[in-house]
Amino acid sequence: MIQVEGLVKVLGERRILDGVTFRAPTGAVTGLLGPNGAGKTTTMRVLSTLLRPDGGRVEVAGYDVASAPEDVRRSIGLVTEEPGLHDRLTVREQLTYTAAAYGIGRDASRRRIDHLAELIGLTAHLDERAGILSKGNRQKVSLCRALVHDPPVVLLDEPTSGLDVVAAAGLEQLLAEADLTGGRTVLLSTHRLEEAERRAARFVGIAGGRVVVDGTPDEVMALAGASSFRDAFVHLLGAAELTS
Amino acid sequence: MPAGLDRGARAVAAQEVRDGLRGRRQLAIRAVLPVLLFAVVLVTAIATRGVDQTEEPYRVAVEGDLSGAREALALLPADAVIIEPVDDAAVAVAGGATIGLVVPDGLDAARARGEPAVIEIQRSVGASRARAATSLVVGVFGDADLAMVKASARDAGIDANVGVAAFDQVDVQLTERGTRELSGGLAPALLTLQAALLVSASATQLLSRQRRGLLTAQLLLPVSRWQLSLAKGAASLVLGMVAGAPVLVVVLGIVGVINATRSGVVAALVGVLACVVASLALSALAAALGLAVGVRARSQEQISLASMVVVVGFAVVAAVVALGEHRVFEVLAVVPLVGVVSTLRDVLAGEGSVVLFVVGVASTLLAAAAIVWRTSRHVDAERLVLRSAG
Repeated sequence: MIQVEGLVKVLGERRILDGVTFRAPTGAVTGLLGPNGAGKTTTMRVLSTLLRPDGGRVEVAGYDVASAPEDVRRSIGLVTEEPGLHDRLTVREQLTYTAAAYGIGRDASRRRIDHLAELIGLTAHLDERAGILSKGNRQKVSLCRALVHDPPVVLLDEPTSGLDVVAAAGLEQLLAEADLTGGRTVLLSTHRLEEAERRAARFVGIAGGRVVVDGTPDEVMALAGASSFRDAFVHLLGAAELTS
Repeated sequence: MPAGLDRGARAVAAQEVRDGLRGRRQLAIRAVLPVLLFAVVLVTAIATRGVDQTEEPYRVAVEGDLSGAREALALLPADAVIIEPVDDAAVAVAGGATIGLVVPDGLDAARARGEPAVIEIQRSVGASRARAATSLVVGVFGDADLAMVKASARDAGIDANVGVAAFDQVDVQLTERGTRELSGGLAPALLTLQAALLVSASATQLLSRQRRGLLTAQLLLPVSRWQLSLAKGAASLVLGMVAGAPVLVVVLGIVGVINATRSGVVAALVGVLACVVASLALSALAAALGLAVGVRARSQEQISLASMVVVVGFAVVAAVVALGEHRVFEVLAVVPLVGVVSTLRDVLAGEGSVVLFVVGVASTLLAAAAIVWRTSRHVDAERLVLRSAG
């Protein structure tokens, strides 16, 4: 469960988030949508404790990001556009060290890594150095790393950005696997409406640092009076952009 | 400021070390470059000493019957030689005199009678100024005394062209004190310069990790900023020690061999151990400074500039404290960097206190920890975001 109430974030002299409020329920994928510069990545960074909130209250898996950041970090897995891997280490080594940092024992981590690698399709690459992997496979390693400690909350910040169509489709398919993301709170930040529409049960639309829409696809379409999800979102976000 | 690495931080440090050790090309460059650099420094130092020879008069320490040798010593050119009467020429040479002379009783009288006179010359082997001063003395006395010796030999019916020497030149002035002073200055200087090179390497590695998103990935781990900074500093230290191994081995070899030869195995072991401990402390300080520079720098140019400033600072300490003519005040043992260098010099010279050395090491390690602690407050994504936003 993610609960955000009146979140404010100021970077430099710019108010990036201005009272953002939404909720992402457990066991479902919530899409965080918005145009470039809307504040999606900043929201993800606050949720993952990389940035401190300047106002409002943010709880992730029951922990306050401001007062219990280490507990929050224990409860989340984050996949970003840039995987951030040690190129000279093998995939297995990266995952083993990450598991160790979460306090997972050697045997348990080996079992977990083998299981995840099989699900994600990384088994053949486990003993290869990360530096020689394709971008798609690097992103799979990033996903594997985000799940190695079995977190209740998974944050996906533009995970398919920069991937080719095939790699993006493969990763998207993985994110739909119940074994990987089922039963968790998943927040998917993207500017690709189709991707969000396929995977998310709920949507939060942000524009100009504010939430302009929050609901299921049907609720969003009804609110905009549009016949398609895409038209509804473009209408709502576009109007918000013009007024912000 | 809790001490030690927790489990998560140990995992981060181990990951960084393994990644660094896999970069064998970079490690090799970091290991070989200092050796070449120090060779150049050594050649430059020797050349500089050669120039000094022509500019400063030689300090000649004279032991023995000076009043009976007044006329003989007057033969030495006053503008090139300063005569220093001493009780023990060997000690004087160890203390900085260019050479020592031990003159026999009644040298002038012996010369007046035309009898051969034997003057013992004491000098440090390998010191270029001592060699030059010896040549000067032998040249002056040799002309006078050798002529008398030859005349005396002819009178006695001996072939004066063979087997007659006026001087008993002692080239074994490697006194315990002198050699230990030599290694005492050289070892801390080399270790200080070696550690200084770690600043740039650590800072560059950190900046590169920031750019590749690695730091962000590490910031997501359930590890406090202090522990994360400590882990990165520890990893830099380990990699720095590995890269600095060739220089450390050379220094330990010099200290070990000299001390074992002149002062015994125990003194050699103490010297080697002190060098290892001092090297760790100096490298820890350099790694911490590298971390501080790497976290704050926005570009490689900024890192180069900041590293240059730090290296110059370390070099000044090496030149003044390690290789300087005078010992620094003992109270400076509490000053980070200066303390460990000065007390190591004293320990290796056989004049230092182990307690002061421990104080010097502790002050330097504490300074390193304080820098890491301070830097950990800057290790967060907020700064990275603001920085990338310009």
